[in-house]
Amino acid sequence: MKEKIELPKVLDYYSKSDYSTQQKARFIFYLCIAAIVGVLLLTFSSVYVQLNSSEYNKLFSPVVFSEIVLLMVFGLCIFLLIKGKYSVSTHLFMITAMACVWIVLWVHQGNNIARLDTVILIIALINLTPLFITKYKITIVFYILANLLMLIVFVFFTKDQLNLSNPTAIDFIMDTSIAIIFSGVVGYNIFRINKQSLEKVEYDYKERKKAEEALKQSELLRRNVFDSSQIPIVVMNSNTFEYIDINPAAVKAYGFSSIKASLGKTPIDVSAPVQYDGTPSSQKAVSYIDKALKDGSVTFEWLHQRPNGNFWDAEVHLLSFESNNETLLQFSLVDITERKKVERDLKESEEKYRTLMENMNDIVMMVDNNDKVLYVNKRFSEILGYSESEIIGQIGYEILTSPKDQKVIVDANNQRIKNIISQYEITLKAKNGNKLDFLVSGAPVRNSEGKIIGSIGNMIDITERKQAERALKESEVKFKELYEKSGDAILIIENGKFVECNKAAIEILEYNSKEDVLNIRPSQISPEFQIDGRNSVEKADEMMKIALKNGTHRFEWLHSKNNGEIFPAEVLLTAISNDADKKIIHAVVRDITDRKQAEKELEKHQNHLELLVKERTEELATSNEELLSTNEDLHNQREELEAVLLNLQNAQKQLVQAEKMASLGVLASGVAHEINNPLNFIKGGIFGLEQYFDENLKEHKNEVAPLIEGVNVGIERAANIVTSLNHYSRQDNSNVSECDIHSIIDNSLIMLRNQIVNNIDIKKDYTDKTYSLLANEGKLHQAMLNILSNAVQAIDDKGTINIETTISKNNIAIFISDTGCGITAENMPKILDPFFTTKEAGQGKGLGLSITYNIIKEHNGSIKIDSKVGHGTTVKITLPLNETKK
Amino acid sequence: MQEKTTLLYVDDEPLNLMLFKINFKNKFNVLTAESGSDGLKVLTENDQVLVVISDMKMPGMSGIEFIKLAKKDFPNISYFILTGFDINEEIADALNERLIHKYFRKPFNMKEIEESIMEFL
Repeated sequence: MKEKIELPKVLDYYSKSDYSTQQKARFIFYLCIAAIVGVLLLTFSSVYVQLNSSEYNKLFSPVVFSEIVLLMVFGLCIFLLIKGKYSVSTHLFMITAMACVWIVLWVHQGNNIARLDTVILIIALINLTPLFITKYKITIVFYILANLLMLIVFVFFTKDQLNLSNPTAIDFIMDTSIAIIFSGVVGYNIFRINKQSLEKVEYDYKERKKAEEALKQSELLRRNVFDSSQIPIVVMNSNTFEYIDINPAAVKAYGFSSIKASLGKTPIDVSAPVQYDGTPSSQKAVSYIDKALKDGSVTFEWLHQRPNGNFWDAEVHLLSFESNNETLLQFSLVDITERKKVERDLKESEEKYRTLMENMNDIVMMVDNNDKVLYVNKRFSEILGYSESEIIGQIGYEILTSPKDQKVIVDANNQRIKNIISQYEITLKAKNGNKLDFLVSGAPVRNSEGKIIGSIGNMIDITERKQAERALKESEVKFKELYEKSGDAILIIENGKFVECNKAAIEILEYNSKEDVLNIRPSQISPEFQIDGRNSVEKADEMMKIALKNGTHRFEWLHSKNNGEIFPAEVLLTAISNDADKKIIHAVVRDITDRKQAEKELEKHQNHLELLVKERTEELATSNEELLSTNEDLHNQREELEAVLLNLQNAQKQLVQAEKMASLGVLASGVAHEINNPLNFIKGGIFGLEQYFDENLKEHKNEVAPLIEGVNVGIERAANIVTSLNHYSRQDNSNVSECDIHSIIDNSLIMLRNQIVNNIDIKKDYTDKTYSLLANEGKLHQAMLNILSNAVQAIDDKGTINIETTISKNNIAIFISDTGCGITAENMPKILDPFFTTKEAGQGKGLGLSITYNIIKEHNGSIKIDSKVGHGTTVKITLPLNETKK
Repeated sequence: MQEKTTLLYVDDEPLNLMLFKINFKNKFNVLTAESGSDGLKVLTENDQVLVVISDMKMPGMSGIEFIKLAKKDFPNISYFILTGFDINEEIADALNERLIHKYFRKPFNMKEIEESIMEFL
């Protein structure tokens, strides 16, 4: 399809007409030219025929005239067409053409067929009508009707001339009419269809145009919004992260020179190298982009850097969207540099305050409206001992000691809401249970909307102060009590007048109330003259002066009571202040009436007493003598009793020990027998073995001998212990003979000779008295040997053993004392127990003393051991002597 | 060589009997009994016994009781006591009454026993 019709220049008028009009106009234009050319040719041919034809030989003017007229008409048509009168031009052309046809029909003189077929031209012309008509299609109907009318009229008038019968004429009319009408209807409909199609196309086109326009407008609007937005917006390729569109606000925010310079940049070009959390920007950006691609959008804060190096913060709203099947990213920026700075400043200031609070010497505590502890500073933990985790989140009241304090706090909090500042004291329980006093001042904590969300308190530890206060109060009370309850009158004299006094003062002076005493002078509660005859006023002044000068002054004074009664008193004045205008004296007044009286009485009695004393002294001297003798008797009795008691105690001790030994004896004899039997097995066995070796394995004898020897020594030792144990069970007094204890001791010493080294000095002090001692000599020997052996062994290096014997009444006493290591108090009660020993294993069996004890007991004697660690031990053995031989 | 002296040893401990027998097998012909009553039986059955050694403490009858009974029937035999106990009144009396020649202590001393027996034979 041709987009544009090339119109002849003359048809410029139609250059803005619609497409069909242009085409029609051009067609008419060329038709008119063709018609003019045709008519011109016709004219020249007819002129030539007329001039050369024998029929005419001259110009046949009606023909030529009509031809010229036709030329003119067509020329007019072109003219009108050019002038834009399209309809007029076309209709003129049509009417002229039709008129010409009809005229030719009318004037034609040829044969019938040649004449009548001209009607076909009419039909042809009618076919042209859709081209000519532009607006009013009804005009086609006029053309049809006009031509039909002309046809009928023409046939009616020329019927005869053409020799047409009526049916033929009607038939012709009918045929021609049908042709005309058909042509007309066809033309009409072609025009209508063309026109309607055109209109439809035109409508559609216009609609489309409109839509396009609207789209264009909205695109423009969007673009304008994008460009003029104050919010920086950037569109970014989701694969390369390059900026593909950016608005001026963004360019400005980024600090680029122009939009052009900004395109193609990536987020890295506008970001700080690392973000606040230390992550590299490139890494963090990718993660946010991934998130936006996945979730559709993401909002985050971003630290940017401009080309000039300045940093700035932005809140970035990044979203992904689809455009032309391509995923793009768009983000808008909000500059939050200021906000961030404020946040930082806030944080810094908060940090500052926190540091301040943490380092404060007082406790700072914050609780919410439900009294839950939100914050405590370090000092809290230091003073009260609770760790932060133990107190935060807890109800603060729980560490109060008195429920009363809770009300104090609640009241204070309510007061503070009304901006009444108050301080109160509370007692808190520290973790270690101590009660601590605090002075609390606080304030409500408000949030940004001014709503109270809790309270903050500053607590000063005033425990010590409180304690001091309490102590002060107590002492004050004590002193007050002392002052008030004092039996002596206490008065304070200021500038010669009483200004204060205690209850005793009022009572002693017999006044009704304190007010009566105050503001009077000491002389006013005194008789006119004192005992030495001096004027009271004068003397009182003097006394006070002395007191002020010396600090204190004690003297006797006569006072008068309210009722005038005079009584002696002892007064002690103590200067408290000696300022010129404030002379204060503390006065203590003691009523000494009774004392004075007693003194007199005493004097009276004294004389009487002296007499009495003389008499009594004589009496006493005699009775004293009597008493002295009685006293001696008593003393002796007491000594005897004490001795008896001591004896009883000893007897008890000995009884206990004897009992112990008796049961031990039974045990020992049983044990001895039971051990001896197995020992017998061993001994028999080893003896048998020895013999066997002697007889059969003589060559092994040397190797076996030490082993057999070992077994024999073992048997020997065990048998000895058992034998020793047998001493406990033996109670016979057989083999009793007269014994010389001194030779027994000497013999024992000889036996111990190898143990007694040179540096042990043995001193003997034997009695000279004769005596008779009946005893089992062997056993006594054993006992002495044991004791002496112990004494020798107690001496480590150098020492002395003293042996002394004495005879008294019916007993012989043997003292054996050493200067050895001694026995500890701890071991003392155990030394007589069998098997008790402090010697190394194998050195001693621990039976010596125990057996000795038993032997002495058998002889009805006693043994007493005294020892002191580091000083030595003394053993005293007492044995009864044979009385019959005495 | 001279015929070995026949000896009866009475003890309730079989181990003692066995050891005694072994140790003296070269010197004496040792017969054993585990109680006083057994010992009496052995004595009636063996007239060649010249020496009797008995333990002191035994179930049934004690060594002294056994010896008292035996001495009635066999007054020519030499009697001895071999005991785990130390000397006591019963033994002391037996010694005094010449019921026994001597008492030996356990663990026994072979030499002492042998010498004593030889002495009294």
